[in-house]
Amino acid sequence: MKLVVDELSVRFGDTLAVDKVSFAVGETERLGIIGASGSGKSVTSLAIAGLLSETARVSGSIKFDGQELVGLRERDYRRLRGNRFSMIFQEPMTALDPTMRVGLQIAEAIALHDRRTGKRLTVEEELQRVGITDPGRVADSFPHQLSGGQRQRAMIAMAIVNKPDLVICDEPTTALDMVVQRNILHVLDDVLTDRAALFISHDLGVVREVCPRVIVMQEGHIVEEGPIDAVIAAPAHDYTARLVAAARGEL
Amino acid sequence: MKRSSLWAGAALVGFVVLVAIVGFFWTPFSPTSNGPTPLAAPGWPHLLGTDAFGTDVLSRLMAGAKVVLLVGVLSVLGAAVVGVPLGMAAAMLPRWAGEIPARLADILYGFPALLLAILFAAALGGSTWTAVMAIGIATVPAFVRVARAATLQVVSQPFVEAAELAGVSRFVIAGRHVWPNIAPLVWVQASVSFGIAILSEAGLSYLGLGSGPDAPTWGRMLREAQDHLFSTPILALWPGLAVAIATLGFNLLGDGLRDVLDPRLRERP
Repeated sequence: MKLVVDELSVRFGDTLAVDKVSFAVGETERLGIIGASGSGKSVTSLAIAGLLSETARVSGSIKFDGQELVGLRERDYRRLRGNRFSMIFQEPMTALDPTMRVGLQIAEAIALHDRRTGKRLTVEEELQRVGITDPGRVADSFPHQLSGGQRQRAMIAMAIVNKPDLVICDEPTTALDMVVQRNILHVLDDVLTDRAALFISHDLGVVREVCPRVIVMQEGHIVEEGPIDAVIAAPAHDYTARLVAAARGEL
Repeated sequence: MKRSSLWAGAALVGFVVLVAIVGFFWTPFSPTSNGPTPLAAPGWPHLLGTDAFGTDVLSRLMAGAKVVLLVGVLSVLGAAVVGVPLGMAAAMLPRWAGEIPARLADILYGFPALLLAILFAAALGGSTWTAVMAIGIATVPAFVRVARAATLQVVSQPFVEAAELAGVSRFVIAGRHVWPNIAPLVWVQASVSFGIAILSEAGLSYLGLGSGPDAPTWGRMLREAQDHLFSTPILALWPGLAVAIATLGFNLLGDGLRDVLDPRLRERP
């Protein structure tokens, strides 16, 4: 198992955001986490990435390749991030630095983990890999000069450039329109091959495209877990049934 | 039309800077030595007249512009160099450590610049440097506050998390990602602080706490004009006008920069 989460709880002051959540992700498995806003799915992913604010109290265990992440020192975390696991964010406008050229931002991620020459070449190769046809121009652009789809592709390139074992995708297509969403899902499907991935979304249809297995979260608990087709065909929990019904129109 | 305050501010500031630069190399008469015709009315050869010692008013104004810009640049630059890193640290350090510079700035904020200058003058004697130090220290909290607020906003953006996720150290994030994003706000604050610094410098030298008697400053000119306010009121007009133009110029420039550099307006393609 690549990632084993055991009885993870996250508390902000008096609010319990995540309550004893346990799941595991295999070496090349893709696991979908689905739930409404406030269900604790994003907090769970941030806890794994070690990006929770200082006010969060985390208990339980998160094991990545056997290494315990809860209580890990910032320095050791930094060594893991980017190199061993990375994250794709929802809104690529705010996930890219508006004052920095896209190519440089990707190069920054490479530079930290792999100090080899020909960085520029690598950046353009990576951009091509995520389906950008004019990588030279995109690398020289500032984020606001790109379309939403191009920005998200650049974000994906940044996340996979160091060939991480685990990629956490936090609502990677939510901010995009339907057509672009479909294209990005294809890119993700391609680049996530041979990697473990956590795919967080509120959209059952999107999760179904990329994940064979899904867990459903509500108010900090896992309420249902299983193969996505089985969950959609026969939802065991009320909440899942409502989600399926809501998504029915799009499926 | 939208950028009228920027252009008006830039024009006024440019005018003051031009006068200061010319005054640095050349003035029509000596700005410090006495002349034979005291309290002359504006005319030829003394375009703006002479003061009680017969010194050419225009020459003194031009020499004074140099002092006012020197004090402004040094105090604002010094305050920014100290205040911005402190503000960024206040926002980026763990909460307990970040509170220290933030609260120190609050305490300093409540301490009047004038009182600070009087303390400095008492300890070190009145000089241009006393003015620079007093105004500079009094300006630090403004930069701490602006930098802290702006940094808090920037570090909550996902791109900072993305950089953290890529394993970039906090120090590099501060320099490479945070600073370029908060710089526009710092420039705006610098321009506004510059206006305040000019006003403070005039106030300090009016009270005799700024530059020494041999340095012609606008504040000193105002003080000297006070003695002849009823006989030659126009003597107070010129330095007053100079202070007003310079302060207005930097404030307009700050407002204009705020409009132009506002990241929310800039982000729109």
